[in-house]
Amino acid sequence: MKLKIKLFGILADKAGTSEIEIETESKIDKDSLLKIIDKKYPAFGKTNYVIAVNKKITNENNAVNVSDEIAILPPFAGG
Amino acid sequence: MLNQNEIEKYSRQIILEDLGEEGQLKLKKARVMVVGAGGLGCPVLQYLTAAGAGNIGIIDDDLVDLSNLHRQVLYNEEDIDKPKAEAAAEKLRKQNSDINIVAYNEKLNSQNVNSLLKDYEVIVDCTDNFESRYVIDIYCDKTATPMVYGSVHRFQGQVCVFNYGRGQIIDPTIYESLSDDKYFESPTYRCLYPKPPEAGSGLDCSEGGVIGVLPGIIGSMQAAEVIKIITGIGEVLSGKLLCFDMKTMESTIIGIKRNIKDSGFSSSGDKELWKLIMEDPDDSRFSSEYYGEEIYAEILMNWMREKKDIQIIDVRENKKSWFKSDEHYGLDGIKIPLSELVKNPKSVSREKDVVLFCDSGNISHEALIILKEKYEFTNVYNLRGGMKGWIKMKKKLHRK
Repeated sequence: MKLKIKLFGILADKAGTSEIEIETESKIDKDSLLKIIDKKYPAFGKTNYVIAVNKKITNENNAVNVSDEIAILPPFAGG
Repeated sequence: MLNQNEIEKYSRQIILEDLGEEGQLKLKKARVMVVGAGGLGCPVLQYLTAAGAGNIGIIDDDLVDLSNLHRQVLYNEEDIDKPKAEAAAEKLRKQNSDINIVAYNEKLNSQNVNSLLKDYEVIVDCTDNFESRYVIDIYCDKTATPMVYGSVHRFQGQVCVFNYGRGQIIDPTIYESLSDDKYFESPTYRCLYPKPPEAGSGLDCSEGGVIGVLPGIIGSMQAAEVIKIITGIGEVLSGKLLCFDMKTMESTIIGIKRNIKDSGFSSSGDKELWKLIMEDPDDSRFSSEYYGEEIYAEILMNWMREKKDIQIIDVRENKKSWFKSDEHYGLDGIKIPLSELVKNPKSVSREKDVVLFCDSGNISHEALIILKEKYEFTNVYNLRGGMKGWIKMKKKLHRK
């Protein structure tokens, strides 16, 4: 399945787009998804970004579905 | 009590039922500290001053620069090279003479945080660096002081209120309606980002660029949250991170839960972080340990004064420099752009201490890592803050 992931801040700059697509198996949990993202976009890792599923920051390793709204958010630094 | 002049001055907001004279009095008694008087700090300060927030503190150690004026709308061309905190205070006193404004011309850090913030009830985070942000967050968590956070990146901005509703606050009746669960739920910035980003993430780079209106929008939202916290109007953005995109004018609110249990310092990680930044800031993850072999402009200047035998390398690509005349500030080095250095570091000395620099210290940090890890150099340093930090230091010295 294809998961759409919205990118914020410097992640969108690094990827050159505000949305990426990740090809995964039909069932995937959050941690496995993060591993795939890290492998495909190693430059993301250093930013300590967090993941939001359906507009909630999630720390638990829950399953992620294709219908979920997924976003990853790096810290912002500018003042 | 409000006097007749105040009633007239604030009549257009007093007339709002939600605010009234009672709300205006709360504003009059309020003590708000704004950390950072830059792109975000300017609108926060202007709107809070105009709204009648009675006691306002300003912390900033920076000087007004020509390149600030497109977004830092409190300042004008005559203010260039003046300390921001003082220039801002001067303007704000003219804007509203009823307000007690105190300017602190210093950088907030772990050593001065207690003394600078202790007299204030709401802290507005308008900083542009992670060191100050984590110091504010830990202080606010420990003392249950609301922290109104804002930050921008290119065309996007974030606003959130952290450490809200867990303790002493202007009007305790606001919280009587909150259940205990909710009371302890209010997240800190560290619930979102437990640790500062790694050096070299690109986030400490100030060259991203910004259109002046964006910090204007985000700063105005922060001012609105401050007024809501003080007066109890509406619903505060606690546990909700507002993400705004100027390109589409879309706002998204992302929920955050508290994941540090209880208030203050229950987890050992927190205690460690606090200890690091409270007791030994120079040895904290924000400086040597965290950034690796980073040196401040002051250290490099001392080396140069002592005529220490060092090699200075400018790793900027051959683009036109951001700064009018770098040479004028006395920092020059052999030019080896990062792209060449990566391929062939044969001109880099292995005997002398080597100092790398770029515009803001970010590209040269990358160079440092490559020289250390790929080519096993042990004698390399990075100039923290780059040419920008160097010029800032020189201007400050010049003022003294």
